Amino acid sequence: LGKPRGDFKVEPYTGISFKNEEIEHILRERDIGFDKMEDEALMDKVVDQLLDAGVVGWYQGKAEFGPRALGNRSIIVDPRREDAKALLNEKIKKRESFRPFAPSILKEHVSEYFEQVDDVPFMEKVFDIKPEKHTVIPAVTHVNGTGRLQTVDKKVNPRYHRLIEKFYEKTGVPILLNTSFNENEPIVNTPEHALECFLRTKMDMLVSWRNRPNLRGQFFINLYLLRNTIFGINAQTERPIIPQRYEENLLALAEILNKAEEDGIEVLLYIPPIRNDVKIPYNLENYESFKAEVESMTKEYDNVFFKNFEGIVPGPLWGTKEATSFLAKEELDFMHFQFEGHRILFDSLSNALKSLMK
Amino acid sequence: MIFNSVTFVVFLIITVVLFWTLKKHFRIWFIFLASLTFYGFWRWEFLSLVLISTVADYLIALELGKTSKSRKAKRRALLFTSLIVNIGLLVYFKYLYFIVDNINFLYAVTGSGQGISSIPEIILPLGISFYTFQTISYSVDAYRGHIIPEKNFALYGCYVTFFPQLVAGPILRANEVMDQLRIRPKFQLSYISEGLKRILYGFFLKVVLADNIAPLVDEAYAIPVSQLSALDVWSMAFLFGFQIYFDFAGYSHIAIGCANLMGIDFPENFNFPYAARSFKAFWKRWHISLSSWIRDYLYLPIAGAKVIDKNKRSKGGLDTSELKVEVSQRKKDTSLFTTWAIMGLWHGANWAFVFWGIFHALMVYFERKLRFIRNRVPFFSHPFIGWSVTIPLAMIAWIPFRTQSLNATFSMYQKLFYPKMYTFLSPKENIYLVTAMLFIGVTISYLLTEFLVPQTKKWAYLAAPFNVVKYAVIIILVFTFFRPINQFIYFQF
Repeated sequence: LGKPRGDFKVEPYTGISFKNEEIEHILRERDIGFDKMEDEALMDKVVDQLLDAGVVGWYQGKAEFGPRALGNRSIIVDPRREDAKALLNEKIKKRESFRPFAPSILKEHVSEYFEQVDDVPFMEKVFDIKPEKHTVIPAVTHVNGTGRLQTVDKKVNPRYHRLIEKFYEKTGVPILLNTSFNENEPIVNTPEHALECFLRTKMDMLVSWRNRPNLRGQFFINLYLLRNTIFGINAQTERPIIPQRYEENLLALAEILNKAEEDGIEVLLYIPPIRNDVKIPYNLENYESFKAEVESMTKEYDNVFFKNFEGIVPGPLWGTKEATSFLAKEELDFMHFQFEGHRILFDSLSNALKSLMK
Repeated sequence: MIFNSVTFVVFLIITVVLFWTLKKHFRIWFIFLASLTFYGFWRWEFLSLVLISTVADYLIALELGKTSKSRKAKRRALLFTSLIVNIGLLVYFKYLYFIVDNINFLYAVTGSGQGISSIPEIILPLGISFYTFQTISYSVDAYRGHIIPEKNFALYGCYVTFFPQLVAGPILRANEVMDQLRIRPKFQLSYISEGLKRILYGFFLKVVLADNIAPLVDEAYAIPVSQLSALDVWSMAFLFGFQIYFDFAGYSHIAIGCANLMGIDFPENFNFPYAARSFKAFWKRWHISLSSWIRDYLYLPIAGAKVIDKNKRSKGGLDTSELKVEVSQRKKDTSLFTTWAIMGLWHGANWAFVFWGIFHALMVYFERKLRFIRNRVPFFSHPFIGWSVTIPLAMIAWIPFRTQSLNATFSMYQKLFYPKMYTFLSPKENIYLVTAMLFIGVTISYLLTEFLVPQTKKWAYLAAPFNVVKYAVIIILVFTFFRPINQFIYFQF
């Protein structure tokens, strides 16, 4: 309209906020020790904690609107650490290892680390990270060399900006790994909620009574890892069939097919793809007889069609996952394949369905 | 109240503090009332049964004390009153179903008449098998003149209801604890530290070991018997053997530890049962307070031997060496089988338990009969031979205990005799692994305690850091696993 465009107010923090007194009250109520600090001292302490392999829960001001944590309800970690993923996954988020964690970067420094420069206040874009920086911030660099960044503007979130600045002063890296303050559940909102999450999760130095389910889980995970390490069990180790389970599963399948027949539903029953260029974790004889048994079972029904997609996804399209023993770094993943594999399976499925519908 | 609950921990702290601060008269009443409270947390209505048994034997024993030895008829009448009250309670609350079932079965077999129609639902009162045995022993001791009946009702009430042992033993004798309850010792810090150590160790056995084995046992025993291999049967026998041992020994340790906190010494109930080299020895190591009770109040009287007042701790088992009266071998054998059948039945109203008892009796019987071989061939008297025969048999004997079904038990036993049954496995592999680990662990811990610990007495400085590490690990594990998810197995007996 010939006039300069008015300043668009970038303000994602529109949600609920709590006063310090309310938070203090909650902490007191639960008899949890705490310190009150001035901002500067607090930030120094937080940065020190980060450098010391720590994970820190960062809870301030108003809640973010939308699915991503942008520095008001966040868990922050030193992005330079190779093991940050393992650290986070172990301590808090039990998420898949291929999912990347996001960097929060000071707006002024974006050009030093990313190929493109733009304002990304909502973590809504993925930029390529400059190749020479991949090794500097491995924790937030995705396998394909990109990062889903959040640019932090001093005007929008001054305290978070100041925290990253502090980190920059001490390390020369203007970036923090930022992930939502939760544990596979919606982003934390109220301080009570944040505290619950904090208590339930194995954050540093805090071993609480309510944390015990995690401790128990951790204990058994390590016991399994130990077992696998001692006996050399990995993803390729042959799994024997447990007769009772096997029978129960086939019975359950028969139930499903019976029900489908009753309700007049047509069923496509298929043997899912399995990696075919390496030794698979089944006893081959058992596996063959299983397939034969399922196939002969489907012949008893008019409404059930059988397909075998066993070999359609080639070996290289399968991935690896974190190892399940202490010694190995990673092992083959027989449960997931990469995007291309999904496309192949989808094509095969849709062809099969199309031919059925004719 | 169940030991592995936070409620109990709070209750225990309050009770111990008041025990050491209250004056004598109040103290005894306080412990009595605290014990009733402890029981009442389960179901207060059933306190009446505890009180009936307690009061009845209090009065009977006092009367026995007053009646001179020459008035045999009256003394007998008094003793029978006690037996009728206690065994009556037991029969009604524990065995009525069983009796009716069996009578109906007989009717059905002989085809005569209708049988007895259904009886109302009866709840098994917690600990009834334990406290009735204790009050019976009290009256019998008074009858035999081994004790002077106590006049102070609260003190005697404490002996019967003292909360650490009320619901699952150890089954105490009056001469073992009455004097300890009467006079409170001077407070020593070591009572607290020793007690806490025992309690921690007991919790370790219960919440860390037994409770984590339980799901594996449940899973394995849920598999239809037809799918099991012989190897599975062996593993399941051993695994349940370890579970019930950790569960019950854990309970006993906690009970003994709680008593220690109050400066009271309980007799030991377990002593590495799975290190036994014979069945006779097994019963000096397993549930010692029950086996010695059975010996003094069932086995010897049935065999016709006179029980001598030893006024000292019994060693448990069937040890009759201290008896002066010679009893014929035939009488001994009859008594053995009768006693052990009753002992089996004591565990539960089910023929499977009777079978378990008779299994043990048979083993003891064979040991007696085959003694001559051991005497002639020194090889067979080697401890390792005895152990490696005893332990698998003792473990196999647990199967009816767990299945509580004779059919299932016998079809599981059958598998053991077919070589083909040794060629496959059914449950998840972890079951074998855990069983093997526990077997190794229990064996090593026995060998360490038996042979290495006495050695370390010389080098106390070595034992100290070891203990620090041991208790640190135990505390962390108990902290992590402490939760009242499972009752103690022996609560149902």
